[in-house]
Amino acid sequence: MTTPSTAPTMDALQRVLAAHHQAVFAYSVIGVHLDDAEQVAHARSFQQAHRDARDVTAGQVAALGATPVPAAASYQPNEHVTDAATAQRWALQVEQDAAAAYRYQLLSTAASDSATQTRKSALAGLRGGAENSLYWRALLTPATPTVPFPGG
Amino acid sequence: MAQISRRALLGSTVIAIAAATGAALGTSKSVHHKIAVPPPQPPSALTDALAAQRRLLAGYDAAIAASPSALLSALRADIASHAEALGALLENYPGWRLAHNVAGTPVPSTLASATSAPATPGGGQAVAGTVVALASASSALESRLATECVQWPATDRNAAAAVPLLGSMSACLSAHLTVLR
Repeated sequence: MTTPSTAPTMDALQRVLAAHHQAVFAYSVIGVHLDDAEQVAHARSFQQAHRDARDVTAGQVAALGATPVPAAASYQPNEHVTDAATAQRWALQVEQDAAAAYRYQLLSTAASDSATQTRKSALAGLRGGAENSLYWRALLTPATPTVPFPGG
Repeated sequence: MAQISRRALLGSTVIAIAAATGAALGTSKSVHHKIAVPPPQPPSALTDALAAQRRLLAGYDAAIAASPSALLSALRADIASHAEALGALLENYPGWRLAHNVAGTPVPSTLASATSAPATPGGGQAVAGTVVALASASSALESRLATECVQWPATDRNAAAAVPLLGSMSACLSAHLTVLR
């Protein structure tokens, strides 16, 4: 059962879980529209990483006595995905969303001194989101492949 | 014999009583002098990180001056944004604010400070203007920010701002390392 003291942590975990659900779905669509073998390989690798993280996060939610948020039937990108460029932009969007969820998880632990492990995990997720975003942003805007505040 | 009105007599009496009361209170009450307590200083982790960012910026400046690069300029812009954000966070600590905003003069921009800073601000080791040196300094700063993010005390009243900021800057530097290597 979620107690008031674990509520912020639970909310953050559910957000992380929802972000991974979206990413797993999105990469299935993205992969179809990519025409470069290396990009497809990256998309598959990123999708598997999100799938693994999704399962771990769902387990953490369940272990805290809550019901993991289910995946939506479908997810809509900001723009219709019709080619490699729009697919890359959706990939960037889902990675940024994942990074934002992890940044929120870091925020949710700020008032707790006993959340070292959660902070480590959130930081690793934020770093992963930043590095995956870098891959897609380097394809879209090579001169500015990074942002100063991933997840911000 | 001088004439005195009742009003003047009453007024004089009131003043005399007030003065006597004041004198009595002044001699009987102990006086507690307020001792100036220095305002809380920011954690050294933040000021050290800012100094390291300034050294890194100086390294980027040297590298870009030697060999102009749009990519290095983009990475430098990220570090400059970090310095601005860290400077804004430091403003939340009265000790820092007092030291950097004397007599209402405008607080110098962290970025401006960074660009005009000596080669080794904060006393640390200067960062050479090479990609290898930039990667090494970025790696060290990334590790330091990550450690501070994980260990930041919840009792710090700026924890809600510091923890995600430190984490985000660390993640950015992690991406920088991928670019620089």
